[in-house]
Amino acid sequence: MKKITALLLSLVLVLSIFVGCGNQETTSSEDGGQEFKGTIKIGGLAPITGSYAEYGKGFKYAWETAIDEINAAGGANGYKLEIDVQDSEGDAVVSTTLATQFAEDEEIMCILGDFSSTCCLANTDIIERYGIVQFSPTCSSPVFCAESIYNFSINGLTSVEGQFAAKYMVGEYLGGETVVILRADNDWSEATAEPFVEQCAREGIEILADEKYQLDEKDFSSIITKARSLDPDVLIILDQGTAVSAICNACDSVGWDVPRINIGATTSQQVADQLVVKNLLTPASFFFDPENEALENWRVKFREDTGYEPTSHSVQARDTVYLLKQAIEKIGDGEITREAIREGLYCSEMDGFTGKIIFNPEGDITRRAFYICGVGEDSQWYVIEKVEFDPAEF
Amino acid sequence: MKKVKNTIVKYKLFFILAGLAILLLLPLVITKSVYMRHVCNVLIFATLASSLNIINGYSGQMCLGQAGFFAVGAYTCAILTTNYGWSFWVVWPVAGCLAALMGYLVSLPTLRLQGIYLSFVTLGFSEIIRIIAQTWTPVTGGNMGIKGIPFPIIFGKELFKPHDYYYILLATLLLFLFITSRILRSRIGRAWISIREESNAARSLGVEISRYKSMNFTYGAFWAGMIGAAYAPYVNFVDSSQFSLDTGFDALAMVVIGGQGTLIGPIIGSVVVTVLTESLRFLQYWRFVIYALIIIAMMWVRPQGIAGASNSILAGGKIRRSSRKKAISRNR
Amino acid sequence: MEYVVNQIINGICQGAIYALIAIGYSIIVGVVGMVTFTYGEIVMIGAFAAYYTFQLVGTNLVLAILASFAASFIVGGIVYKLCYERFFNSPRHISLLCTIGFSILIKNLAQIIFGPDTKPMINIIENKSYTLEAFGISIVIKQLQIMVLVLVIISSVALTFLFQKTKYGIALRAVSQDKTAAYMVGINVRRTAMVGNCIGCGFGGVAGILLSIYYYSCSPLMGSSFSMKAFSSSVLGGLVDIRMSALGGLCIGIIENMGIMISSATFRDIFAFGFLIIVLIIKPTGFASSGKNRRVKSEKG
Repeated sequence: MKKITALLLSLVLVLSIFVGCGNQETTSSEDGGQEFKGTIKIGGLAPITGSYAEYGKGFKYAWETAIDEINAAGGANGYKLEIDVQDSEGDAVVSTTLATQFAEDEEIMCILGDFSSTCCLANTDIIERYGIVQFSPTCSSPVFCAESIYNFSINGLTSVEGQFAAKYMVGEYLGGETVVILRADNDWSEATAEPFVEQCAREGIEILADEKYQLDEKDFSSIITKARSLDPDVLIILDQGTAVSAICNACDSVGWDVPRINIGATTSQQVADQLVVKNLLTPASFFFDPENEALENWRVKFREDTGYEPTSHSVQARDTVYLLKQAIEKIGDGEITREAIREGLYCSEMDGFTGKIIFNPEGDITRRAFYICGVGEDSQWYVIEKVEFDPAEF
Repeated sequence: MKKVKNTIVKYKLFFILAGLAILLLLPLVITKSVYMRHVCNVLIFATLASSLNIINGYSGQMCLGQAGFFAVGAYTCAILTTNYGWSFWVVWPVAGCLAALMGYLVSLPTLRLQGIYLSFVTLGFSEIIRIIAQTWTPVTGGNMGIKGIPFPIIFGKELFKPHDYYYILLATLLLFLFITSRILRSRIGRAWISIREESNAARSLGVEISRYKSMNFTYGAFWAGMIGAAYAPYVNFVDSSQFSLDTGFDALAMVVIGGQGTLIGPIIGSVVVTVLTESLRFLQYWRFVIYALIIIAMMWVRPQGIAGASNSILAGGKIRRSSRKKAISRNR
Repeated sequence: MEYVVNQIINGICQGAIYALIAIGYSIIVGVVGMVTFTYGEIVMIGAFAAYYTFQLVGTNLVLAILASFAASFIVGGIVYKLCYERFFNSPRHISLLCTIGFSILIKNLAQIIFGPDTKPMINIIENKSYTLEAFGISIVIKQLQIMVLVLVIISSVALTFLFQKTKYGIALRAVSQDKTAAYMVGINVRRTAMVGNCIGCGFGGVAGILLSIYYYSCSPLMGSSFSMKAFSSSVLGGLVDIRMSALGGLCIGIIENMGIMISSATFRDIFAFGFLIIVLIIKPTGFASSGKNRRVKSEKG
């Protein structure tokens, strides 16, 4: 019994030390010295622990730095922004609980996040009932935005990406006639593959096979062998993250140099670094352009502060904050309410790091231009061609 | 200590009634939905952990795949209420029974297996269920999951608020506790415990081990299914990623921390784990590091769990305690 | 035909990877007599030790192997002290939960210390492959695949020799079979078990290097899926028998790839688990002869 009390006491002690540290940090960072009309609180949901920690930490970093930037420049519409980022662990139950917490806190005006579509969709009912915006940088579910007027996402309608890749990359750029699709078995790849397949049919491109694999797949040799036996002109990889480079490397290790197009990872530096043979193309609405000074500075700072390369997810997270700022500015002298923020976001437009963002009435965005990017021998992404198109043509 | 115990025994009914009254009035005291959600989460995991405790704690088998039974319940409820418009109240027992059927099926091959082999089959089963849920798109929605699961309606009132939903979850847990405490005192319960403590002796005394083991699995799975069915409308959206092995491991941690083989143990475990993980939030990235350290520390200090009895085989029996004494004297 | 042969080759290579990690796993389970869920994290530690060796001193495989072995050996020692030693006489679930806790600990620490992203491990070993032509079928085999296969065979034979013939190995086996009896004949049970566990972990670390070179990357979460496969392989092999565990790994690899050949890669785990469950139903102790496994069987779950 004594031992337990001792343990509990020491635990309390350790925890209180942590609390002490935490409090000190926040008080010291509040010395701004600027005059604000007031403070607008934002809730942030991100998986900063667990399998998606890489992206969650990127979110947290991108949100907080963007808000610091905005506050340093006088705030949004004269208001100081404040974000409270909570760890949703990528777990639907935790995320819904946190969403309720934010929604109930009347000071919180908007929720940024979550990362995964499981969490975003699970939160939909709550945010709808409380009437608070859930603005996800990356929710990939095709039905997310249509589900509620309070849902916004700037992941971009993946259908366009698929159609673009089919028409302009496989068709016009590579001139391929047969393709094999390899894709992770998740909602995002399903939503992307379908329009891709339809567009291929219109372009007269034959789909030889559509192979799915589990999300944590490590060994791709057998599906590569399967794909190779069909001998396609182009290999399409629908996935995000390191599986893309793993698939390419598995191809190269058996000496199969088929042209590969990846939809999903965009211009991830990690993917480029991990390629043994730099043979990969991707349609990107955005890429880390070394000539775009602001973006390059941001990227360098991200790497210095976090110790790893940012992915496009973090950039999207940054853009959500600026879109929010713009929405708050639209309110002008009116009262800042949750509803006003929703109206401010509705059908808004902005030039972000991730390209031109135009919300459609559902709250999703449609891209109007893509870069065709390829990896160079120095593991950097290069733009091969910029293609502007009208989404209506598909 | 004894005096306290005597008082508790003497006024047992009073204590139970008082506890019930507190539980029933809880939503009136807690006004914020978010705290109520935390309470609901505790109840969900308490029931899930309790159902696991039936298998692990009472018959001494080691099931690692409780997430599988949980998934069966949740998906049954989600599919039947959302796609076929069944009433939640009809679906609820159906989901429990379906999970029980699964439990029975799993128990059949596992009767011959023991120890790690049995654990492995349950683990494999849980993963197979998850993959089926992920790939059987026409029925389970596949990767898109099932969204907009209707909330239960009682007397024309839609129970979407955590304050109202709380009563469904509380009822599940109380019903579970009531029925289980009856069963444990019956011949079946005694048979389970005898299998756990000394299976050879139990067999020689005429306990049909295989029958009782499979009954045990079926019963444990039934409650995992029941709480799964109650969970689905609560989160309003199910997809396969919610039923990974980690969910099963979480439940296991709650059972062991609270005290395996006791009725109250998993409930305490669920409260402790939830309170810990929530109160450690300010640690940000370090949260789970500290949480893991606390789990290990807990096992060192009190391996039988917070509410565990020290004289059962689960606490390691006498050997365990003497070695601990040695360790203490060595430290001094 | 060529396609089928190539798929079988893929299966064998994949199986060899499973076998490689299963060997360390079955040493641990054999000596300690308890299931571990930290093994995947040990493999990850080994991979990261190699990654940082390459970063610091350049591509030196020997040094990297030593570093990985040492790092995972040490972590193995910590696991032993924290999760096993105290709980030899306790029911199994206690040390099991401790290993789950330790695995959470290492995973989260690794994400903080090493960073949560995936690190590239390319161009460590020359990406050479050999093409064999026989009966009109051409088969492509990578140098690394041959290395893994050879390593599996050598280490399973060598370890079996160590366990069967040397004095130390016999002590290890005695500990793994009956701790009390081993204690009575004068074996230092605690130390022997600890060293045995650490050797198993060291093996896991070395497997980690090959794994990360084979897949060109390492990340803090790389271990979990492999640990599950190592677990399956050694269950299939009867848990304590090294050669059988290696064989189990091979079988699972081949079955999985055959399954993928006829259906889809999504069902990979279903084939692995399904096969295992069927084997266990027919033969409740896996491939190992049931006599050897009386110990594992008779213990409480």
